[in-house]
Amino acid sequence: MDFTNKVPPDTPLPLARQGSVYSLTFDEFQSTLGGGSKDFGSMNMDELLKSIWNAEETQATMASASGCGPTGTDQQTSGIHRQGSLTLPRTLSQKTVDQVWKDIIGVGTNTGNAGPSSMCPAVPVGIVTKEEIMQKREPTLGEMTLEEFLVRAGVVREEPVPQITPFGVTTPTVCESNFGNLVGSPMQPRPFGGLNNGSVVPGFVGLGPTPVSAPVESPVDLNGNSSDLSPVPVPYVFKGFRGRKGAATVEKVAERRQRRMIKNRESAARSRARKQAYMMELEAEIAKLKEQNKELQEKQVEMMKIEKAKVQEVMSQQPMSKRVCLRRTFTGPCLSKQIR
Amino acid sequence: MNMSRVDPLVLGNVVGDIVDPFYPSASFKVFYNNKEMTSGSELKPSQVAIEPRVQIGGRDMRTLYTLVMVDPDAPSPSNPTKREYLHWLVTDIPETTNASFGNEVVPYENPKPIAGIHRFVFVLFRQTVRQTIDAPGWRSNFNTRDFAQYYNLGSPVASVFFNCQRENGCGGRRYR
Repeated sequence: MDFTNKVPPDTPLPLARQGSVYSLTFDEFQSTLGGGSKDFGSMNMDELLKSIWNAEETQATMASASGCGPTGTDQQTSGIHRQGSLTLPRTLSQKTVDQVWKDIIGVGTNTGNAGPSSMCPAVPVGIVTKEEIMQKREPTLGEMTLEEFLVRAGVVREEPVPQITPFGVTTPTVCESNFGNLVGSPMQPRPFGGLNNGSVVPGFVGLGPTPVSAPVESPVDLNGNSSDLSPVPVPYVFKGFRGRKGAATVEKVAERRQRRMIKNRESAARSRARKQAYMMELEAEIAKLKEQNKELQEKQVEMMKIEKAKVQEVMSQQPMSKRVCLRRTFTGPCLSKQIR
Repeated sequence: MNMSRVDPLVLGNVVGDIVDPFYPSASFKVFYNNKEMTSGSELKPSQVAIEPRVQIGGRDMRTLYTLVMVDPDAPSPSNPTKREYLHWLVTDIPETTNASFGNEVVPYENPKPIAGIHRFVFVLFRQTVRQTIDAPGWRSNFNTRDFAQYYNLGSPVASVFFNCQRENGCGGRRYR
């Protein structure tokens, strides 16, 4: 059931990686093919898939040859062969990789290429948030892993987030239509094993029973085309939430995301702490200043009183020169003398 | 005057990262450009390029203080491998005076954060005696706690801090 673990981690392969082909990025994949393949950008989606399968075949062959491939691998390999005649949704197959890529990065605005825009929320990292999606976005095609690309292109479905209760049979029907078999039999054992741990559901977090039909134009094209199923769903479990299937690259990717998320959280926490600390300081300072102000004002009042009293005193002591007393020039020096 | 509550220092994680909880018992003010620095405020590198005037209130000029200024977020808050970076170390500062009356063991190095928003923390210790304190071999990875213990300075008596980022910083964000 664990066909992600098609190859034991330490098996040296010509492809030089420990996971499946799908976990490679475009750049890596290209280099493993020895640069012999033309630049993926101008490749047709069809060609792309073929080259991926070739690579996978090679890998599977190596695995079987070395005698350590699990049973599931063989089955899956043959599964690939059987489905060799896979055809992509019409909307996709004629597009070049570049075009699909452009559609993908136009995520959020592009509904024509049904896959990407609706795919994004389904990235199963356990928590599906916009930030996750944003962070996930690779800056260049070359840095995107094959499976991610396929997922986003709508060729492949992502494994659902575990929190999502299996929709059961009904919902999957429509949106999984291009993956015929897969849809109708969520609980059936598949040759390629525990695909989604036994349950296949559309990987859309937000994809309730009703919206199903809307975003999935291309899949509908292939209604009943079961050939897409076996090889294509392969990537599901790679980046699935239960991605601890063993492939180091899978872990790496998930770890990368996890780390970024953690860093982001820490940064946010620091920011909040900063803000709060400053706020408290200010409040304390305000309180202090208010207190000070109050005291000073009271003091001021006191001083005025004293001053007044002194003046009165001086006045009463000199009843004769009453007019003179009231003159400022006379009281001035008096007061200053008192205060000192 | 540093407030009697330690909370902002706890919130800013100064208590924890650099010092242990303490009871402030000294009047301690820091003035950059003749403006009193509010703990927790944000200052620009240009504003803190010149060493501040440090005012230690009180009455007894015989009491001496040691002042430490560190950056616990060097080189970046998310990766503080150089914690704590020592920016300033002055000893034997008499009460009621300022740092210029003390002994500048490590000269003031003006903050120049590159990545992220750093905290710059002043910690004040009350000395029991006039003592000679040696400069560490390097500024990086200074440890205020160990330092205080080594020189028997006891618990801090005051602490303030400010935040600082690159002059044209964008709040620590590297992208967009």
